[in-house]
This record gives sequence, C-alpha cells and structure tokens, in this order.
Amino acid sequence: MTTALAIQLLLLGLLQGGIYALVACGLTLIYGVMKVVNFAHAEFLTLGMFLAITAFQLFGLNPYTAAPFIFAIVFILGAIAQQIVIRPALRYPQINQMLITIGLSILLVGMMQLLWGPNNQVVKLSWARATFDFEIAGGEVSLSYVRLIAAVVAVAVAGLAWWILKYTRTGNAMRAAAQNPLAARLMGINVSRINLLTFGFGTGLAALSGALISPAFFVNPTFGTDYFILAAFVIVVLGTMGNFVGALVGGLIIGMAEALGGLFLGAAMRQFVSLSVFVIVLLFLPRGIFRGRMS
Amino acid sequence: MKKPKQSAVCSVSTPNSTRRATVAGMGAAIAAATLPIPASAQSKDIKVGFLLPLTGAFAEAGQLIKSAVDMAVEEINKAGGIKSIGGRLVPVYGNSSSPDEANTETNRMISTEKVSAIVGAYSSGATISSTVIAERASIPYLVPNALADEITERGLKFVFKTVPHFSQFAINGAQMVKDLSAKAKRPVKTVSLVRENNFFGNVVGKAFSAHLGKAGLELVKDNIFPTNPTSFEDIIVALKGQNPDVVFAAGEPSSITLLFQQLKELKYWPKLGWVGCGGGYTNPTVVQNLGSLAEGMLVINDWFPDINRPGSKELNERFKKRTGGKDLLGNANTTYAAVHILADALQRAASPDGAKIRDALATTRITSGPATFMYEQVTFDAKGMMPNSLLIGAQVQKGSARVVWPNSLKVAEGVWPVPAPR
Amino acid sequence: MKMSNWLDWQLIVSGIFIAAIAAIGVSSTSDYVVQILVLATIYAAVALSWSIAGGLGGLLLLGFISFYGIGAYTNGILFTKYGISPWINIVLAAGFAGLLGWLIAAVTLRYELSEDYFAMFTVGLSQALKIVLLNSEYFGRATGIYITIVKDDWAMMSFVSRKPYLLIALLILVVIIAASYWIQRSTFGFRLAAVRQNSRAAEALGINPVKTKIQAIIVSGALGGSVGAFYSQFVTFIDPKQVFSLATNFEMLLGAVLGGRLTLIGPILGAATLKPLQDVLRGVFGGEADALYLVLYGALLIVSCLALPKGIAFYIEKWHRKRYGNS
Repeated sequence: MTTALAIQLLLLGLLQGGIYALVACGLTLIYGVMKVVNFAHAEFLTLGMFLAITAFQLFGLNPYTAAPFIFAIVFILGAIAQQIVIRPALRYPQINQMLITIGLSILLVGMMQLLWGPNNQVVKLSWARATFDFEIAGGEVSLSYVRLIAAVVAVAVAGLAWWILKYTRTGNAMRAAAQNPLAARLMGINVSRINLLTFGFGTGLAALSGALISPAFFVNPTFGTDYFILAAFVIVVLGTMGNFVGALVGGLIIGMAEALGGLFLGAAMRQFVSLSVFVIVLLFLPRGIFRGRMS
Repeated sequence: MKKPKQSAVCSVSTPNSTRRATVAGMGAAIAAATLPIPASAQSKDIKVGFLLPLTGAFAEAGQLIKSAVDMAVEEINKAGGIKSIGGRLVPVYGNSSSPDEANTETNRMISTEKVSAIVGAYSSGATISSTVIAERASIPYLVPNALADEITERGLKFVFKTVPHFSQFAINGAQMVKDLSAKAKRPVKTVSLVRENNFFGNVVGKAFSAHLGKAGLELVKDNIFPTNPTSFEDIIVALKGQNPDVVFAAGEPSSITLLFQQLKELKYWPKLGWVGCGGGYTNPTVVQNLGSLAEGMLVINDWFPDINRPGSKELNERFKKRTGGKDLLGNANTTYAAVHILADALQRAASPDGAKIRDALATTRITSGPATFMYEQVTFDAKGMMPNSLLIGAQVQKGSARVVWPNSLKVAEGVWPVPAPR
Repeated sequence: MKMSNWLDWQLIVSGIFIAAIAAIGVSSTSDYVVQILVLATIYAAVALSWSIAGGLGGLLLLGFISFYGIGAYTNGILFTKYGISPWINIVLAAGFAGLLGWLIAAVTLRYELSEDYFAMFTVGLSQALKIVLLNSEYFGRATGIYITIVKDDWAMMSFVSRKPYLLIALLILVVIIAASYWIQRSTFGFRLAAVRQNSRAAEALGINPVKTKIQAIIVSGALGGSVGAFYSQFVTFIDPKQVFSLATNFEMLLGAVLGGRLTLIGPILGAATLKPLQDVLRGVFGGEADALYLVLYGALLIVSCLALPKGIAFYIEKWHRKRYGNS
C-alpha cells in the first residue's frame, strides 16, 4: 500500500461522501421540518437517474444540463406525493407514517419498472470514463471526471440549499417549522405550505443527486434502495436528524469511513463500517454530532 | 408475459373474513375457467412442474427460461408427445422466488396438479428445500439451473442435476488459461479471485481455493466484495498490489458493470486476462452496457450460441425469433435441454408413475438428439449428477461472446494476453 | 369469561379461528392448502408477538426481524451442527432473542432516544446482523443452512407431511395469544398502556417507564424468536438475506398495524388475511418482474394505512360495543 494508493482511496471516499451528502441533506430536511422519515427517499434518487437517462436518450441532453429541469420536475412530483399521501398521514401515529412512506417506496419502484423496465441502463456519455490524473507522493492518482463533477456540484448545491435555509424568508420559515410547528403557526407561518415546499425540495434534491451521478453508475428501479438508502440513513443520524450541515459533514465522514473500512478490513466489510458507525453513534452520541440542534 | 392463472388461491373459507371468502370464490372461478383439462376427462397427458423465479429480482431470467421451456414442449408435442404413453407433455409453472414460495408451489404441483415430475428451481436455496418435498412424495426432480452441491449430496434418490459441479469452474478455468498461455508462449502462475459475497460467489471461491493448486497455479488472494458496493476502489487497489497474471471473477450484472467501469477509471488490468465465471458475465445487458469495456473479456459457462457444435446456431436463431432477439442464455439453454432429457426418460418409463420415471432418469444414456446441443453425452451417476459435464470458455470479441476453448468446440481464436479495454 | 368483555370476546373468537384452521388443515387432502395455512399462522404469530411491544407498548420497534432471524439461526445451527431437537431450540431461541431484546432495550432506553431514533436503530441493527452472518463461516455465510428431512421423527420435529407443522404452528400461536391475553389483563398490561399513553403521567403514578419498556421488548423479542426457530425447521433452508429481510419485516408489521395492533385479534386477522392476499395478487399480477404487482401492493399499503389507521379491529370493537354495550 503506497502513499499514492492510500491517497487515491481516500480521495475517492471523499468524492463518494460528497454525493452521499446531498442525498442525505434532502432526507434530513424532510425529517427536520415534517418529522417524517421518508423511506421512499431513495426512489426519488432513482427517478432522477432515470429521467437523466431518458433526457440523454431522447434529447441528447447531458445529465448536467438536464439536472435543473429534473430537479424542477421531481420537486413538483414530490409536492404532489406530499399532498396526496404524506399530508393526510401526518396526524397518524409514527408507525403508520412509516408504513405509508414504505408503501410509497414500493409503489415508486413498481412504477419505474413499468416505465423503464427492470434492466440496468447506462448513460453512454463518451467521456464517462475519462479521468483527471495527477502525480503525488511518487505515484499517480486517477479521479474520474464524472465522480468529480458529481461530488463538487453536489456539495455546491448543498451549500446553496443551506444558504437558502438560512437567509431566505421561506428557508427561515422552514427552520421555524422544524423547531416548533405550533409556534411557527402562531407566528403566521403556513405550515402546510411549508411542508409541501419542504417535501418537494427534499425529494428534488434527491433526484438532482441522481441526475448528477448517473454517468458514474448505472440505473435500475431498485438502484437507490440497493446502493444509497442505508448510507443516507446512517448519515442523517450521524449528522443529527434534521441538521442540514450535519448531513453534509456526515456524508463526507461516512464516505471516508467506507473507504478506510475497505482499505483496512477488506471490501466485504464496507457496509459493515457504515452500519457500525450507525449503531455506535446511536448508542453513544444518540443525538448525532450536532447533538440535537437543527441548523 | 403473465403468469398463467392456474395458481389460483386455495378454496379455503374461514370465519371472520369475508374478504378471504371473496378471494377464494374468485380463485375457484378463475381455476374453473382456465384449467385446460376438464375434470371429467381421463387424460393421458403428462404434467410436469416447472419451478422458476417468475416474479421478483430474477424474473427476467425466469421468464426467459419459461420461453425456452415452452419452445421445448411445443417441439416435443409436435413430434407426437410422449408416444409410449400416448399423451402430450403439459407444463405447470410455479413461482420460486423464495424458498417459502418454492415449497408452497411444489406442494401445489404435487397435491393439486398431480405432476409426474418437477424441474427447477433456479436459486439454490429454493431448490434445496423444494427437492426435499418432492423426495417425500416420490416425485422425480430434475435440476438444470441451480448450483449448490447440497442438492445432490444429501442422499436423495429422486433428485437429478445436469448443472456441472462448481469445481468445474476451477478445473476447466485453470485448464483454459494454461492452454491459452501455452499457445501464446507466456507463463501463467498467479491468480487472484474477485467475487461477490453471495451464494454463487462463495461456492466459486471455495472451488478455486481447492483446485487451483492441483492445476499448478497459485492463488494470491481471494478478494471478496459485498453485494451493491458504491465503489470497487479497494478491490482494484488491492489487485494492483497483488499483480496477478490472471483474475477469475464472479458476480451479479450490477456489480460487473460498475467494476468494469472503475477498472478503466483506475487503470488496472491483469497481466494476461480477466475471466468471468457464470451467468452475470454472459448477461447480454451487461455486455451491451459496457460497450467497448467488455472487449476481450473471457467467460466460462456451460454454453454459448456461437459454438462449434451441430445444431447450436440454428437452435439459438429459432429462440431469438421466438423471443424477439434474445439469446438462449442464462439457464434457458440448460432448462431447454432438461425438458428433452425428461421427455426421453418419460418415453422409456412409459408411465406417469414417479418411481418409474425416476428409474428411467437414472438409466439415461443420451448421445444424440435435441439435448446434445449442450452435452456430448447425458448420463447420471449414483448421486444423480451428470459426470460428463464440461464448462466452456468464450471471449467477447466485437461485442459478442465467441467460444475459444476447448479446441474441439471453438469458433474463434482466443486473444491472449488480453489487452486492457479501450 | 364473558362475551360482553371485549378482550374475552377476542380470545373466544381467536380460539374458534384456530380450531377452524386446525380442522381445515387436518382434513385437507392438499399439502398446498396446509402450506399456505402454516405460513399465514407464522405471520400471525410474529405480528402478535410484535404487538406486545409495538402495539400495547407503543414502541416503534421497527426492526423486529432481528429476533426472527436470530431464532431461525438458533435452530438452524443447533439442529444441524449439534443435533439438538427443535423442540428445545424453540425455547432456546426465545432465550437468545429475549437476550437480544434486553441488550437493545437496556442500551437504547437509557438515553430517552426519540422514537424515530429507536426505530432507525432497530432497523440498522437488523441489517448489521445480516452482514455479520453473511461474513461468518460458522453461520454458513451466503450459502446458508439447510435441513434435510426424509422421514418422520417427532423428537426432532421432522415430518413428511405438512400437517404436523400446522398443528405445531397453531400451538405456538396459541401460546402467544395466551401471553397477549394474560398481559392485557395483568398489571403489566396496565403499565404498558399507561406508558404508551403518557410516559410522564405514568411515572407520576409510580411506574418505571424504562423498566416497563425493557420488559415489553424482551417479551416481544422472545416470542418472535421462537417463531423464527420454528420457521427454519419448517422451511428447511435459511440464509441471511431471507431471515433478515426488511421486506419481510415490513410485511409482518403491516399485518399487525392493519389488523389493529392494540388488540388481540387484530394482528392475527391482519397477518392471516394479508399473506394469502399478497400471494394471490402476486399470482395474478406478478408477471414480468413484478412491476404491476408492486404498484398495486404499494398503493394498497398506502390506501389501507390512510383509511384504516387504527386497523380493522377498531371497527370490530365498535361493533362489539354496540352489540354488548360498554363493559
């Protein structure tokens, strides 16, 4: 294990972490404002990927150009789902809410399968495998452009979202609703509308992540659940449920942790690392690294 | 393709549930409407149960196999059915997406449908559990599409398997790389494994660990990866360190796709070549998605359409016409052959009785006919295994898999060493 | 025992239900029918086990399958590697699963974790266990554990026919029903209800919420584990993906929630109806890779959770009240 190889692994872990971060941000936002654990979050990611592939195949649009449109489309779809499915469930017990989002997840997988079929598909971008190479510590490090772009844009978008939350009126309203829905309502905030916007925004972020990563992976209807959902939940908990910055930081941490786990314990234990972090955080730092605060 | 409605719900009515009664009524109506053989007629037709994953994760494979079975059944019936009995062969399909389901369906086939034999069940777990049920009912069970040793290692008398023993992957794989290397006048010694931590990956891993030494090759490392990792960097970096001559690999289509994408990105390729074992590596979607990345990839499996055996190409073309362009791959081939093997046994047994069919199967000796597109010879040993099965090597050349090993079956020359994919 | 008492009424009806299943199963000439009944019974037993902590206790014990899986592997390992009888293994499985429950409870409850955290923890733990087993040679890794039975052996719970399995499954269900009944009538049940409704108020009454919750999780877990052990003996093949499957987990809970998790009869009704319904739906709509089935099943889940938030048993209870008046 040369230094260069170690750096290679860690950098890739960091890139993966950036992607994880954006996915987790949407999930944590929805939880923070609505106190709903969105078990269907991964399906919105997958939907974003499918939309990117379709945009590429039908219109020749590359996923990065299509990304904002995909965000908008899924924002609307998410908002619709919220109105029909989530909103009525909010007054029910937690277990019902959870089962409903689980039902939504199953429904979405089925719909995607009907629309796009069960097989793997890829975005055949001609430069999808090109890499950015540089020399360091006497060795060469190769980072694929598509992963690099995905991670950088993801973190940028997360930053933008954070800015929106902190400095715009709607963003502040969301944070107020997250901290105390009753008080927010008393202050004149239309919590129902906030919920609608939040769910749309959160799922839109997931779809955007999907579009960004589509050239780096492949898609099938269960991709989101198979590859990202566990990490997303781990990160949300690690970063404190509802804490946006926590999700960002948590994403990077988990990305690195997986890389380190793969490096030292072997690839088979990668997921075990995330799950161990999950269990340990819940045991010793149950409120996450930001200890219950929601920024 | 919709599953036939013969899987109607049982006619059970329980108190406290009108919903159940309605469903039961619906089921009975559907069953009555679609059962092909009227209850009053005494039919000489032979029913055979086919356990396949018709829904769920492996449904695509299951549906492909079903098309192959349908084709075989049609051919047999067109040629007169089972002439010694004077009836047609009638398939009864059952879903085997999980051991639970496979067991339930096996029970249904035996008690309700009264099948004379069963073929199945694709996944080893489902096969292991459902063969026990068939054994107890003295119904012969032919396994053309599940791999586990345990299937034939438990002393069951009614179970027969046409799938090669998984040690063949190691034995034939090692021989292939040695032959190719000898021809190219390049030495081959070190091997690394890259395999998924699932059932197939585990058995392949065990096989290679056990047999590589005997072939004079050295196993440097058995690299295991979990199902659905988001990155293979650790495996690839490890491979760079191990620097093997050859990599043998096994995995699911998703893993293979991502792995090959990253092999290119991280710029690694083994010194001589990469050999994939089994199903995932022959999946046409994988080859299509990888495009030029798959060029030169070697695959070991039991059959490829592009093979030097009489009748193979024609058979594949017929199947492609039937399925709108899909090759007879992914156990569709072995199951197709199994139908013919079973038909041969039924013909010799001349009876729908399970025990007689079992005895006929045990004394099978096929050296010509439809099943030989896959096997030179079909016989079963005392354990119910086919001792003469062989695994074949093909190489992806210009987007399609062409057989390059052994010499008697090849249609193209293997490119060895394999240059890194562009 | 009075019919006018809601709990007693449920007990009687459950008893009749079980007797009917037994009668149908024993008299049936089709192994297929018996197979379906056994699976429905198993699901009902798990759902009812869960409902003690998840329903009566109000705990968001989302990752319940850990107990089921532990139970399945207990029997799988002890039976195949050490030749211990499944009759004993079922009890041992209850022990191990109960121990796991105690560990989970003791460790999570001292922090007053919010419900959602607790739920996530249990889900994460189930998947962690799955990965541990996938990587353990002793437990069979991904190749799993298989049991071969070719002749009857009562001592080893091995039968050629499916019928004895049905009777044993029903017996287990009876035990769990008795447990739930007894709990609902006892001070423990009272404590559970108090803690479920208002933890602070319960404390004021002198009840220790943490201790009560721990006890509930242990009981639920132990019962769930025993069902898992039986399951492994019945299905004769287990692997980590199967017995720690989140999909199965949610299916079992769904039965309890849709049936009515606060009642005795709810989980039984819900699970026993849902499982066959699922199989039928799959049979009719399954087809190519499930797509249509998934859409329908997902929609069914959503609609029934929205329409029947308290479960079917809620409406049965209303009817009972009308019929018998308040008791």
